[in-house]
Amino acid sequence: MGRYLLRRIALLIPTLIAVLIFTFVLHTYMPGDEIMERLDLEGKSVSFDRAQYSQSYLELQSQLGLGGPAFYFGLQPSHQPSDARDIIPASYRQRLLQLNGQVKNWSKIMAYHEALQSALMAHEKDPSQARLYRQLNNLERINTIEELRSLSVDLPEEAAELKNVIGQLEPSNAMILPSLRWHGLDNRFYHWVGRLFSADGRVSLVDGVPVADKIGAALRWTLSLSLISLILAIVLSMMIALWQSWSTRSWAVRITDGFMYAIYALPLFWLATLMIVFFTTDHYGSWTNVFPSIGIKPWMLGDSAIANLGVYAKQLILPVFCLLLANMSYLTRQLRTDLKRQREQPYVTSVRAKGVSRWRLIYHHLLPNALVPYITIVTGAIPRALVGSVVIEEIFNLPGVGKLMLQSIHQSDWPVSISIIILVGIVTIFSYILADVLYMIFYPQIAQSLEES
Amino acid sequence: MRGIDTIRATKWYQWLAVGYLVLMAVFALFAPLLSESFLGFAPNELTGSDLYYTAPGSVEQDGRTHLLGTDRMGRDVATRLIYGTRTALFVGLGVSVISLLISLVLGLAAGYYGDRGVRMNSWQLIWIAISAVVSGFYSSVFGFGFWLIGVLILIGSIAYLLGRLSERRISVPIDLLTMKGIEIFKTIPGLFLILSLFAIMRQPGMLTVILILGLVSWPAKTRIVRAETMRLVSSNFIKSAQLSGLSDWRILHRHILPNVLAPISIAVAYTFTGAILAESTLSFLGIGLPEDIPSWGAILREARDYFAAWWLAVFPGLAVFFTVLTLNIIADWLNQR
Amino acid sequence: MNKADTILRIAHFSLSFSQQHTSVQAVDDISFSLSRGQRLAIVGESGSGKTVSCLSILNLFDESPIAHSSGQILYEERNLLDTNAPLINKIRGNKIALISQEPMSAMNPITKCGKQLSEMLRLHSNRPINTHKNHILQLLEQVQLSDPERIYQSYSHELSGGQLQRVQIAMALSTDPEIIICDEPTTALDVTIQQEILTLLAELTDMEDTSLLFISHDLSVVTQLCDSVIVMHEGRIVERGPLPETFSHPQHAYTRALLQSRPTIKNQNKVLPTVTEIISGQYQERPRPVRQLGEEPILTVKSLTKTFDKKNHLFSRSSQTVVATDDVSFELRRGEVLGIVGESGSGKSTIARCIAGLYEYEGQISYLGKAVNPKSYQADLELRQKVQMVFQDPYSSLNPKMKIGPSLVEIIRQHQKVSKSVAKSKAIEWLHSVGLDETYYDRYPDGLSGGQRQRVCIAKCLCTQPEILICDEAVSALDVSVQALILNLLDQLIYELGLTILFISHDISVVRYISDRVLVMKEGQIVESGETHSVLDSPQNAYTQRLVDAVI
Repeated sequence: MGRYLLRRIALLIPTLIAVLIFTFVLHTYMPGDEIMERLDLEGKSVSFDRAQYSQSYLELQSQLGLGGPAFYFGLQPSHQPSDARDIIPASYRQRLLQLNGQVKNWSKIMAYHEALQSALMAHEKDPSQARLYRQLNNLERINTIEELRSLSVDLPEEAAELKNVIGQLEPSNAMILPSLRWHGLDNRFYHWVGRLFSADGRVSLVDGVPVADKIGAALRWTLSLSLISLILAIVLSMMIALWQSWSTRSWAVRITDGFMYAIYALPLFWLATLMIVFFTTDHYGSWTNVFPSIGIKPWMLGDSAIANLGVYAKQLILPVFCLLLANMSYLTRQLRTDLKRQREQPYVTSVRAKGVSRWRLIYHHLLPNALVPYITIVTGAIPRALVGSVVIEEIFNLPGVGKLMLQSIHQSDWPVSISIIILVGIVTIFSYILADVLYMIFYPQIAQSLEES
Repeated sequence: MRGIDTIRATKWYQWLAVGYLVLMAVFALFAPLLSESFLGFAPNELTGSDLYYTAPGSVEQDGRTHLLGTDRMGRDVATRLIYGTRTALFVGLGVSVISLLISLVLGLAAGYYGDRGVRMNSWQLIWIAISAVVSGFYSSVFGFGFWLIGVLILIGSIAYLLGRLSERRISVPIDLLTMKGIEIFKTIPGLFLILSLFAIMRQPGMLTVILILGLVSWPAKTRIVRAETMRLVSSNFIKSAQLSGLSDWRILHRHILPNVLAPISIAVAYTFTGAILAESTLSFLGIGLPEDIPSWGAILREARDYFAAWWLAVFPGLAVFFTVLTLNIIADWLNQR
Repeated sequence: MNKADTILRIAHFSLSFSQQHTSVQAVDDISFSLSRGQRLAIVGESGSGKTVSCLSILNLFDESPIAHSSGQILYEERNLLDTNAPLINKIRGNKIALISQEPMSAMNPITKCGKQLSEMLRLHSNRPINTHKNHILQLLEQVQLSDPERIYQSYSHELSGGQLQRVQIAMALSTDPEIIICDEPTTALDVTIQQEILTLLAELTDMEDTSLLFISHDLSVVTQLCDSVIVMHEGRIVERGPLPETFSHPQHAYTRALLQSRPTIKNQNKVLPTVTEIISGQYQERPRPVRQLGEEPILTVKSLTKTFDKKNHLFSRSSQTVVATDDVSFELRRGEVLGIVGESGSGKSTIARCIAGLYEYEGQISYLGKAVNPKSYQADLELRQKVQMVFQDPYSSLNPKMKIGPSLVEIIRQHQKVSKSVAKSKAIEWLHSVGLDETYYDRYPDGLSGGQRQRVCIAKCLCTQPEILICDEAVSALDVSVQALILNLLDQLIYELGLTILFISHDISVVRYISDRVLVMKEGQIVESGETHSVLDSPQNAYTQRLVDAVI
């Protein structure tokens, strides 16, 4: 058992590495430029001084470890540079790389880049050269050699050097060869992981609040919401499923079955919308306005704790009810199916032949067997409970983990979103382990076969 | 005989489900015809400014009636609902097909070959590793095109020839790799994955939505296909097929595939439902499909802006509810047979 | 038989199951009675209604919505069919106990055996609860289980079939019931264990004067244990009477058919009669076709060793190994039937699978003088396909999604370059040769009986034009009458096609009938071999002796 658990926990490491790499890839392709956002936060928004802005941009970039190649190693076309992160902004860098894809000579492209930048720099502050400046600016948006050449024809004498450099850009048909490059530790992934576990990764990009505080506050809501509904759902589903197997009133059983079936098909977001539309406003008569309107009231310092808790509880009734219905119908259906399946097992005949009563058969023989898959189902619900129901939190405007995640993705607030995903990943793996531990406690014979596999 | 028995055993609600599905298909296929000739509105048509949030039954100046009212921008809800059927079915179908294809390929390979079925000598392993890297490289440079298929065939045939070089073989644990892959994949919360992918895609169209939802929903089905294939492989008829000299390909597509399709069809039906639910939930949250593609979830979202417009909450919700209910009934029906 | 002694009386009992819109009559108006201390056997083939009628005695179909019963089952002046639940629960287990067929699936898989036994006491016994465990340990000792404490703490999957059946007997005896119903209690067990269980049952029921209702398809088991018999056929009782007289002088044709279609020493040289032949009175004794035995070995097995180890691939080291066959050598001569007998776990099926090419192995197997690559089936494909195999379970041997005809055509076209229509006519030919007509060509397997399926399986093997046919318990899952048909078919095919057959079975009498030479296997090794008659008539080895004794 110990060894099995150790092996399970050891699986955490490759999984975490995979999750890290995966989120890094997502993160790199995510829209938004963190450096620009940070500069904005510091009040150094895009100034008219190109040189100054790019200098502070590059400084912050290397400081954050966002320069350099993406990974420890890379497979790239041999004509492309291993990284060109010191060319900003990213869209311009992309175009230069595209140009190089046609020319296949990075040093020529760099010569063009430098000539263009120095020309831009030279004419930036000179109002008499406004037309030339616009022309140059326009060149920054070009990504094919043909276009570049045709535009360069119109350039005035002042930009003769640039014209010359562009003239040397020739499309090349050379074979594209892969080259495997080793970049060492100075890569973005390495720094990113480092930052994740440093002070940087612990503070939200949006408002500078520590990530732990943000997630902690959100967890309080999500956990009270989902744990209450999950526990209630477990209890209710057991009661209903047991009653259904025990009852001999087939019409009542069939009605409950149909009811559960219908609820199971009820989209959660619709149910919640109906609730807030009909039960939190006066639009449909004051008698339907039973529940407080959505959103959270602040904790009233003047009032007693009980009064405050009462307010919170009232706030939670509708969302808990919605989640409860969804969880309950699912769990009841599962348990009911498993109880039915157990009823058809061959051991039931010999157990009944022993003279056990109907209730004893269900409670002592069918239920323990039916709970075997139920454990997996319930433990599987734990990580989902952690993310919370995004929909419910969004509709009822509860500041839970799901809403926080949605927000942080929207705002590209990676310290928050990645902390949440890693948290959920760890909880997921621990929920697997919890399932195994539960099997070892309640069903040692099943755990044995797990261990052997 | 069999056909008559099947019809006899069909329950009333199963008939209803089939009827509803047919109705949906008709709505989806003839959406433009239906909405233009019967309702008289185009899906994105903005009607008069005094018609924002008009209740069901209100009449336009030119005599056209908004059967189910209008939304925030004065668009006809009934028309958008009909077009929403089209969106829902299209998304459901697309997602089912993509995830079915992925799960069939992975599940059949993992279940049939297991950890020992695929054996290669070291030449083959090295060749396949190198060519995978190189062809991966070129496809990232030139884009994934049909040329890739030709290259794959070339790589495969060279790998086959290399098999003659040495008889000392190493098993490639396809099954283990697939299962570990699924395990890792499942630790990432699905919703997070969907949200981030949508964030990356910036402006997702219908195809992107389908692709993303399809890519997220393969693991469960892969497990079913794998388990089912393993069960079949251990059964006598597959063993005797192997002994009678049939090729792996023939056994897979003539003997295993037809037997796997029955259990997997239930899972596919649930994927269909899941995809429709996911799409409408995403549209409801304001992520996903662009504004000009009518979707049930998007209509429902507007109910949150104006609680007095009950028709925006009730009708699209009913559409999603009945669709899900219908598909669940059909899935369970498949399960019983 | 004294009327006062009668403790159970079944009067005009019928039971039917409704299926969708049809109804199947499982038991049709049967009447019999059981007296104290009597050991009554109910015999019949599958589908004869014997199990259903016995489960009805405990009214176990009371909650099934599709079962409809009529008539009376009288126990202590009470009709059990309409006794209310609390009362019948006092009778079930307490007065009438059940021992069921598959011991493995009859036990609750997640509860320890001890707890399941004590549940019986908790329900029916007045003993104080703290004495239950001691009582159970005593019972376990009484059914000759060594180490009762361990059994008490075990789950059903940790015990062997024989051990579980003993636990079930202990459970049945724990409440000192008046009647014990045994539903094929020994069918799933090896012959030697079967013997032990029967002896145990006889001893224990003798002690308490318990009545026994013994359901079986195995006539020899019944003769050994019971004092009277009821023969059932298609839901009706066709014959009843004391044993062994009823079997020595059967009155009804069906009983005669059951007795005669079994392969025995008496009908060794005759074609086995079939049930229809006997019932219609058309059976005429005729000699079996004579085989042409060659001396030339068609298949040679040299020091075949097969070990199973768990996992062996790129990322794992091998661990535990289990030796299934250990250094086995023999040869198979052209035109003969070589029988391999042994109990479960003796490695006989492993040999079959190694030869067929389903397993890799160590050692050497050569066909027609050429050794094949033990690690690769593909390497010597043509040679390997001269060997085909018929499996035990006919129900998993056919693809349920494929019609019979196309599944034959597929194989024919794999081996011969012929057009579809030619292949079809060939397929029909093969169907004829296994005794099926062309209407089977377009049928799916799901409507076929076990015997018909097994014929199709043989036809599929024949399509590859094999030299050697391996029958791995090919007739073990079949009823006696069907078994006779298949044995006759094999006999005929050997004669017509010159097939060589490796016949694997646990059933000594079948092996004795069909095979020319025999190998006796135990724990992966051959303990005795030679001409069938010399080995089985005068066994040299103690184990063979035990096997042979167990049958008679």
